[in-house]
Amino acid sequence: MSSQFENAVNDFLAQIGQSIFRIDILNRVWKAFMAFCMCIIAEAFRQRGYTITPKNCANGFIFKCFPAGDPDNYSYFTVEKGSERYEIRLNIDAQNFQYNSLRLNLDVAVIRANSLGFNKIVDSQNDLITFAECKNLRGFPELVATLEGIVYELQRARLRPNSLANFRIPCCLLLSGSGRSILYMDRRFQKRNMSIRIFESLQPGSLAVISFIRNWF
Amino acid sequence: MTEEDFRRICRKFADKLGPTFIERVERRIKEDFEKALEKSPKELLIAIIEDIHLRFILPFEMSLQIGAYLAELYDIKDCILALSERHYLYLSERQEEIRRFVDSFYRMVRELGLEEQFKKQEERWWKI
Repeated sequence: MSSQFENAVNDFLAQIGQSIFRIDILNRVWKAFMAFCMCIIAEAFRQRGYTITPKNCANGFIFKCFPAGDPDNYSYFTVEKGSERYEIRLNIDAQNFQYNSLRLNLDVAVIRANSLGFNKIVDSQNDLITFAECKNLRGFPELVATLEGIVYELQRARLRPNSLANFRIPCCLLLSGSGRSILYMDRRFQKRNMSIRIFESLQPGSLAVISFIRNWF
Repeated sequence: MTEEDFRRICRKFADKLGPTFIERVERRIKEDFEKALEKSPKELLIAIIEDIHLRFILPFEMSLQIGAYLAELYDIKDCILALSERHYLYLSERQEEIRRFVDSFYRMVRELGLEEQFKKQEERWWKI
């Protein structure tokens, strides 16, 4: 006869492979982390007195969790306070036209309102307010190097000491897992007053999420 | 639970989730699956459950919270993850199913005596 723990394991495993818990979906459901990050970013603005309005959601809020596709076919948030008018978008392309940089796809981007050009690329020099790279992983050093590489291509002035004076809202690496092995880099960014941050353990309901919302900018 | 129990449970996961999953767990523990199974089956089981928690359970929990957030603050009833141009995951229609899946995970963790490592957190960050 099976023990209670064995029954519990069997019950859990029996669901895998069925319905929306098929392996092909399980292997892609991590993308919900990007949608989650988009929401906590919207919430960070809301709690600072910005007005948030969901757009393009007549048939439900459709999170664009993949790089291809026209961003205007998916939902996004607008963010407004006084003269500040931004959009929070998922998976849009950005390029620094002044430096003819690489064109890079950003997981979450906060851009100036109506700044997506006809080619659906945001000009990172002029219109990218901030961005977040979202990894449903534990942190490891290569992720920081990748973030710094993206910053170098798109907004290299963020890499200078005291860049926070010019870029009020830090771009960030958002991790769902532990960032223990790389958090010393976050301390270094803060010590140098750089507009780059790393946030770890962003899991539903965790204190880390509340801390991100309160302390991001 | 005995060491043999832990081994049997580890094998169940490996059989169900296949070689790609095992390779990922091996990268996580930096050790061969069979060796870890022999040497420290409880630690191996924790590594397996950590991987499942991070990759499968948390994203579903996030999707439940996203649905609640959009409904409570913006009165949006339907939320959809577009995983690719043609592959949409309709979260709102699946909430009960997702909740059952997540609950069964935490029930399993409790029965295995691992609830300290994998606590369900339900704080609503938009209400703080």
